[in-house]
Amino acid sequence: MAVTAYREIQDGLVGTLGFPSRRYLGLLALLAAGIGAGALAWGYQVLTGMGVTGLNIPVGWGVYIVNFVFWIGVGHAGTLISAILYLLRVSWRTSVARAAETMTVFAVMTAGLFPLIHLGRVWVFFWILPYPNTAHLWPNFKSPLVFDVVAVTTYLTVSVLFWWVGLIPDLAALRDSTTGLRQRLYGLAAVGWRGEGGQWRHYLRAYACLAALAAPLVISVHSVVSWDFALAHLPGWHSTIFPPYFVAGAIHSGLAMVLTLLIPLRGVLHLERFIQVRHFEAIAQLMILTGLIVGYAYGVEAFLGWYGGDPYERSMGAYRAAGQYAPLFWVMVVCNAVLPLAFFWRRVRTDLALLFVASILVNVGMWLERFVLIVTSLAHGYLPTTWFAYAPSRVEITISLGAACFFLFMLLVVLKLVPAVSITESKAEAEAAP
Amino acid sequence: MTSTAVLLATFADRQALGRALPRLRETQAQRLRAFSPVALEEDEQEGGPERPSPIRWLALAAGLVGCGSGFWLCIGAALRYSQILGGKPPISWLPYCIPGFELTILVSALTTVGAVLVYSRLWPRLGLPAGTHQPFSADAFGVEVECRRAERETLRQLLRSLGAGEIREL
Repeated sequence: MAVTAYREIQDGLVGTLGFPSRRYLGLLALLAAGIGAGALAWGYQVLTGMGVTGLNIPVGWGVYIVNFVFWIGVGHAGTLISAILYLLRVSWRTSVARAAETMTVFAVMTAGLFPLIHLGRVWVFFWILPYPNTAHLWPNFKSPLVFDVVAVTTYLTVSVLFWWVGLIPDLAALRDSTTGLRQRLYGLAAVGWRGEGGQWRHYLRAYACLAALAAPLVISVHSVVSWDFALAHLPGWHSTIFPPYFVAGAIHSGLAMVLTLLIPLRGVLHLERFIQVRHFEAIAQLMILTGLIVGYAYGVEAFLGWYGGDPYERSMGAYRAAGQYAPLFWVMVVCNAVLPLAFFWRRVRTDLALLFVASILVNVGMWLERFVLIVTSLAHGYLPTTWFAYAPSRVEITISLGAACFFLFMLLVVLKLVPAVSITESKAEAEAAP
Repeated sequence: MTSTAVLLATFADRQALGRALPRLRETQAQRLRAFSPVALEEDEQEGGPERPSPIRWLALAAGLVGCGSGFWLCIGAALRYSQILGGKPPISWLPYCIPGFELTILVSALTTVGAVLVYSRLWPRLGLPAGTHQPFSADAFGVEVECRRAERETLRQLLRSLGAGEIREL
């Protein structure tokens, strides 16, 4: 391997970290305004009370919980690509893993906002934590909501650790190729990495261990999230299929989000040399698999609802397919289960414009899936006298959009501070290439 | 003047470094460090394949501690709260597997990261750490060898015969 190729790779990736262009800054300003609007809406909700939302008994969970499930799901693709594909030694992961991991970190942070927002009285959030207190209250560890706190906290911590440990050699390369304040800050984050053989010895083992620890988290976290619903006795929720259904859906939406973000970022950050069409094609191929699993889950869920003979389950199936939320249900089915079948055609998989549009539609479909799943069951319970039509209020919509702006803002800021593609792994991949 | 000398040699590529390391290990050098901008497999490291990292065993031990802590937390909270409902025992083993599992992962991951920091002597430092050779994070491979001052010329010749490019004394 010619050392000049190493230098070219490093210079190419370090070059993406220059001062942002005016358009980039303009986009950041727009996103910051969105965050501000979301924060104001949240402040209004805190001051006024939860009555400003569209939530009302029996629909106690609305778009806040929909957003929580959606953003947690988005994070799953990053862990899948960075951890599971690392353990499977899939070579194409190198080009997309860093961006996907970064996406995971901020997607989980965004998800973590929503249970707090949904609490209403956010200042007493610490009541969910186990600590000795004068009221002698302790969390109930039999509750799936407490499972969620433990699982999501673990997921966020492990995702951040995995992301940072993967970054250490790159941070050292950045430290060594910059000067002044940037060198000092990169030096702080690189924790004194010198690329010694002894350091690589422990680093590689630790990275493999973290990947092995993160991999079951992909399965466990969304299984735990699914139990928020599956452990409740409500038509449309109480189903054993939920954990695999949720995990497949989470990975499906996460992969779609990777495409949605990376296709434009590739051009904006001039990463065409590192992120090639074949990488997007590989993600699209994975989405065929996840889309088929999701489609199968939709079919099984509907079949079991009918075959089980329970009139309430049958009623729920009919309500979803033909009730007031039916348009959302059918859009969901088409976007998540039918549309990805187009990826069987190579022409679609390799056309970035088509891929980009398809990925956005899958994201929309996956958000709708969570909306249909959560809201319809609550709105159409056992007693017709409790049936209720929920629609999110302007406060909920503003907070939801503000959180999406927060996710994009953080991602765009961080991708100007650390390379979107791993410098070290790109060098190793270039060396291994025939 | 110290009785030892430290030579820093660069190699053109990873293969040259990999060929040089077994020979350098045989010299009984007082200190041998390899440097690389890309990950070195265990047989390419200065310690050789016979010195695997102990981190996986620490991760396993920490995972077991985490698992125990998860169950301990759930059982402790249930016993402290001690609210008997319907005559059922306050402790439920099955749901406690979830916090047990999550804490297994959490404690193991934290220990793994702590271990790599300790074993690799990594801690936050502003700017360049002492003794950093900047090209080794970019595009150069190299070794740092400490030997007796009287043997430095022999070592220099050996390094040159092994394909080293630039050799300088630190």
